[in-house]
Amino acid sequence: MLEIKNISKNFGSKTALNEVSFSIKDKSVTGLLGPNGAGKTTLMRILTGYFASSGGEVYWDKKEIDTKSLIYKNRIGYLPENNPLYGYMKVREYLEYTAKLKGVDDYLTESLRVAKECGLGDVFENKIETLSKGYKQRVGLAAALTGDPELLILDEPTTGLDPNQIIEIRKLIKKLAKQKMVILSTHILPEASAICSRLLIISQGKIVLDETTAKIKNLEKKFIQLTS
Amino acid sequence: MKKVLTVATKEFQGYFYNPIGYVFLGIMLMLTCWVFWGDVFVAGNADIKPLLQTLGYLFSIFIPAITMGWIADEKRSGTWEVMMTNPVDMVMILWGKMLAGMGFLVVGLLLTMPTLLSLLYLGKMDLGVVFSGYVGLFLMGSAYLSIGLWVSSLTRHPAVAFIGTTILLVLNSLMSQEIVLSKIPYFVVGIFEKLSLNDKMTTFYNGELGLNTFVYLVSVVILFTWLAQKANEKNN
Repeated sequence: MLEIKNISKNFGSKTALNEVSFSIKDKSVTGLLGPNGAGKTTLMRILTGYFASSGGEVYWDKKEIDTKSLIYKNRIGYLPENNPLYGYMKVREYLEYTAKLKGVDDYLTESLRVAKECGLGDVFENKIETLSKGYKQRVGLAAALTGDPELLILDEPTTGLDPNQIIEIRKLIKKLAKQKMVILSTHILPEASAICSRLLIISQGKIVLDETTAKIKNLEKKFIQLTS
Repeated sequence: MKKVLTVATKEFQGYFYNPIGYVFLGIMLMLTCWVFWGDVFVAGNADIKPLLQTLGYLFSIFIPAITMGWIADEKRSGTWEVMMTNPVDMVMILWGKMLAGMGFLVVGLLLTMPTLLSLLYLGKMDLGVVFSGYVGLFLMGSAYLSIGLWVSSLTRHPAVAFIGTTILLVLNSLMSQEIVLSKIPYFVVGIFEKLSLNDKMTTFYNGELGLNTFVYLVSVVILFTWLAQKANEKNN
């Protein structure tokens, strides 16, 4: 179980996150929902160790952890917003490179495993820059899955995809959630309802709702009420 | 060390995935040959020094082209975030990039070997001077790479990194020029001579592998790589 306690982040005099606290159970998809600029990406960047927080702690199985430590980073997989990739590399090269960075000894087998899991078999030897957006998203997901992390952090994983690609990626995330903790951010309400078992609505750097998806009636109305 | 080599290999291969690496090496070689053979045939001077000096000056323009994207482009495209969220120390990434740049430098220097061999054929040459000259060029090039790495860490725009590094390296070259030194106060001349990387090269061009100069250049590499690390840590 992952527990986030009183996480804050200030950029100069601007408060991006204000004492955010929540916990995440194993094998579930937790959705971070909020309007643009609410603090979703900042929170994710703190959870991935990319940003240092201005205050607060993170606990994993009741032990406090340093999100900047390499041991912690070995336990997470991250797909950033806009899915940045090295376009000149082949899918295989990129996945092998990621596996090596994650310290996987058998990087050849690992790259094949994640490629298979994300349906990249057909394009394994293709250059990333030649792939469709949907396939590129799969490459980003496969890279996040490399090393078999326990926690997957996905920042707006379906942004810019066409409806078919969105359905495919959602299926894939649901499949992954059977084995891992998944945190994903989105500002698309139907997506949050379709994939997440639990929703956190974040507004102006604060958690304004923490509820299981099943218990939320009329998400759209609630979202507007809480974020406007 | 394994991860440093992983980053270095990927970066080194990256130079040859697009035309920039080949264009860089081609133009550097062309200009070196043009300047050098002009000296041999026009001035009738079959000496290694002009070749080494030409390469030294060309580094001021070509090395910023190598380093401009090292960090700036990664930050602009977002791949820096991916790298930093992998279980890899930033120091490993920076030294991986430095190693790749040094490897590319070695390739560039090796490509001047045919010119060198022609010179050996045409005239007498002190092989000690050749060796120390190439070691010096490698060290100076590595120092330039580290300066480029630092400047690239200060911006998200590769073009700004290129211009910034070029200005610093050209200023460094000017600090050793007689025309500049003759027009500035005497006490500043001393400082310029101490700081100028080009000035230190005279030792190597004269065939000496001076320990002081060696330590100085290695210190510059370590200092600017450390400054790059600090600049990137500050940004996060």
